[in-house]
Amino acid sequence: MNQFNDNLPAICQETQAEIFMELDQPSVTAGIQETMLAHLKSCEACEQYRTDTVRLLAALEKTDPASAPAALANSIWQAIEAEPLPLPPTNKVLTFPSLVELLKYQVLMFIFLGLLTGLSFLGLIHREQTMIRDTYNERVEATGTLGHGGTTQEEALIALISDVATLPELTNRNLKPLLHDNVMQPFELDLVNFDILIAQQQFRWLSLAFPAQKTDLPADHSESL
Amino acid sequence: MADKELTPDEKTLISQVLAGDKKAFRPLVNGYTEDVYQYILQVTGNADLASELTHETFIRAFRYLYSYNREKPFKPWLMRIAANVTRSRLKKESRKEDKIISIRELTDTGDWDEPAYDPLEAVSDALDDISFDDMVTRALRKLSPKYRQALVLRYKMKYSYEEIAEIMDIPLNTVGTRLSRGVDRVRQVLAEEDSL
Repeated sequence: MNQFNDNLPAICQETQAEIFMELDQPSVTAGIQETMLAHLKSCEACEQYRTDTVRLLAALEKTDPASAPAALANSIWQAIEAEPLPLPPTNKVLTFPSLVELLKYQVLMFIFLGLLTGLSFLGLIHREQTMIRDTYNERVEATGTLGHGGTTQEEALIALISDVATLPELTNRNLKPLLHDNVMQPFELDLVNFDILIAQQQFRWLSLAFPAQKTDLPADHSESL
Repeated sequence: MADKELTPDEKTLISQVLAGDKKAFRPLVNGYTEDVYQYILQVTGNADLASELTHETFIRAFRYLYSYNREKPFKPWLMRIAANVTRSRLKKESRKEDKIISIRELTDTGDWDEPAYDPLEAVSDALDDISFDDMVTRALRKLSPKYRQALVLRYKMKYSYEEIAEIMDIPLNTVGTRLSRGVDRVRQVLAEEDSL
């Protein structure tokens, strides 16, 4: 429906569309529908639309009698003669060998990116561990002791682990290697005990991190070690 | 203007051109120059521009002959190039006109030299105005290219809806909408000029 007829009643819009189709493609349409024909007879606007459209289409069909200049085809031909021969399209279809080539480069690219990411990750871990160790050593140097006051070796170890755990830079990831170097080796702890210590310490952190669950956590069994 | 299927001759000619025989393109130039020129002239209303754009159409058709699908009729493909060439030129021209108008608006201090009144020109203008057909042609040139092209292809060049859809690269349903809206816009322009 044309936008200029938007304010017309729906029956006028439909009738005018039918009129246009009938005038434009008489061989395709089966004629204006009866209801619209009845409307057309009584509607001045639609009748006027039909008269105007007939007149307009007749005027539009008049063509400019001017024909192409006689020399135009010749001059076009001269221009084409100066043109190089048409070339086949340059965008080649992706053939099987070139597809393999492409995949090869992609695999190499993934390997390279993987190596790069892995190295960066290792570098990051190393940097973090060094930082924590330095911080711990500074603390030991400052206090002149290992930073604990336990009487037995176990108590001393538990206190040492607690001390290490308070370091702000400490994360689960680097706790184990740090304790291994600073606690397990100097005190010659066996691996089983060491893992128990770590597990208990992790319970303690959980209770600090989630106070609501504190009651559900087991009591501190560090004394029993 | 019922469109011809690609004749065996045309198919052979195009194959010959693609095989390196440039001269085989000449019959195609001779055969379609008039149609392409008429279409562009009706859309632009400017004979010099029509000649220039007809040139451009054939040059492009020659350059991109490889992209032509030989299973389809040649003429709609050629007319599609003509339609694209014409549309982009009209867009460029209209942008240029907009710039000129805005410069004139900016520099208009009221001292702009209005053209002197020429009685002979006035009489000539009045005579021009007498013909309703001329008024319609003028109104047609005030439409946007998409409506103008559709109306020219349908009413002046007598193309079918299917061919117009192919040339203008629009869906078949849109052809009818463009035509009815185009005619309504012509009617609106004429109504504004009080000629209808």
